[in-house]
Amino acid sequence: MPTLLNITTFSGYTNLTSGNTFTLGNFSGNTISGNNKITITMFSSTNPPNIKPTDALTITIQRNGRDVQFGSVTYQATAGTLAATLASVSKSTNSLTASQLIVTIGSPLATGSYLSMIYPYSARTLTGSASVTQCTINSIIVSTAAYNLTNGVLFFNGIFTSQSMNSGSISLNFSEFTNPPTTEPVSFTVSSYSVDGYMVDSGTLSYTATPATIGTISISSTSYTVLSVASLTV
Amino acid sequence: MARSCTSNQPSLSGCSYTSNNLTFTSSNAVTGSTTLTWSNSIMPGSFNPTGKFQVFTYFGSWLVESSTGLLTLTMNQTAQFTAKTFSMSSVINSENSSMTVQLTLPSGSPSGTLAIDIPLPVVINSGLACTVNTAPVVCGVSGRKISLPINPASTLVNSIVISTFGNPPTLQPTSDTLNVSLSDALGKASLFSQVAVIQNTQASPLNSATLTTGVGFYG
Repeated sequence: MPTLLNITTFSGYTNLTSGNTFTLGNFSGNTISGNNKITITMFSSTNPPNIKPTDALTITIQRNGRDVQFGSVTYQATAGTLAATLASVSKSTNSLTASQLIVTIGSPLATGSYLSMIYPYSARTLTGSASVTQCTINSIIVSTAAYNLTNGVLFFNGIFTSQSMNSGSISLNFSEFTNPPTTEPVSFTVSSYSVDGYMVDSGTLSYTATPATIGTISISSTSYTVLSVASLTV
Repeated sequence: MARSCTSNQPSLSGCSYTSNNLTFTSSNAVTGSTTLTWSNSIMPGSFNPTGKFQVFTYFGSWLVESSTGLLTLTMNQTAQFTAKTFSMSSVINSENSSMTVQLTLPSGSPSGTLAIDIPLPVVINSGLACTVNTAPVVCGVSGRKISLPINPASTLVNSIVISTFGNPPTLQPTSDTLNVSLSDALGKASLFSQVAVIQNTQASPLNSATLTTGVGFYG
């Protein structure tokens, strides 16, 4: 059974801690009538490393060594936050460009973790021929990084094949990143996941393309006489 | 003024517009070379290049592309304006005559320099004075050309009085027409007209008798 909660302090009644079980006792002389709430606060406990629900926390009330009431509950942490930025060599709409995603994690990532990036339908982002040209973890090159596109989500795997990281940044350089088709700001959601697929951190970044240049353009008039009324063509 | 808009792209055949903004809208995707044409645009009143035309493409309300570079129009053909009346003292050899030129300039005419070529044998006296709509202006003489500043934007009808002249010495009509041109800031004649032949209709008095006749100009 995994360690669910790291209990470091406890104050109150007589307690015994054994393995993952702690016992509150010595209620002699005190009667807690029904429909009353018993609150147990555990300070300095460490949340699970991802959003995977814990196994059941089982609460048993005993009297004279016999179970009289029983209940259980699970606990699920919420994802932490990470910071992400996306920069491109060119930000022109629709242009194919090299780009760099930098992710600063908020929570440690164990070996086997991976990253994902969700992008809106309107952004085509990475083409089939794109590749991760370079990946670094805290400036140390990781040569195994790759990506795949599944159901509209980009998964970056191979980053933590043989290593973990406690803090810092991951840098991913892409070839052939396709800029959004318009200058409407696009939100990308970047998340980190544990090896068993549970989210660890998540964050969003906003990326805005700049207007591309219209290729060849000219203007002409049906008349070049001053003050004449004419038709113009571009 | 009604405006028609056309395009080589069938879905871009209509447009909406404000004073300086023309919008072509398409409900279908537009690809490839696109030509947009719209009518009833008033060309500039000067040879000065226009400001830059800018072209943008949008998807919904979001900008996709924009034009760069210099996209301007430059007029190179003159237009004509009307000099409605000329009057001048018509007595042979009379001194200190004055000439009145009434001009109707098209809306949008540029500020510039109005030039009047005075035909022979009208004499341009020294001490020339000019007024535009009764306001004195500084006018100059170069050869037989009188020039003065004019600002058509302030008034479309300009009554220009130029004095003093010496009338032709005979009743013979002037051999040349009287040319009036308006030059814009670039010094190019943007507007032009030739309107009248000056002819004395009244001999100068030989004695105490006084002859009176009407003004005689040929348009």
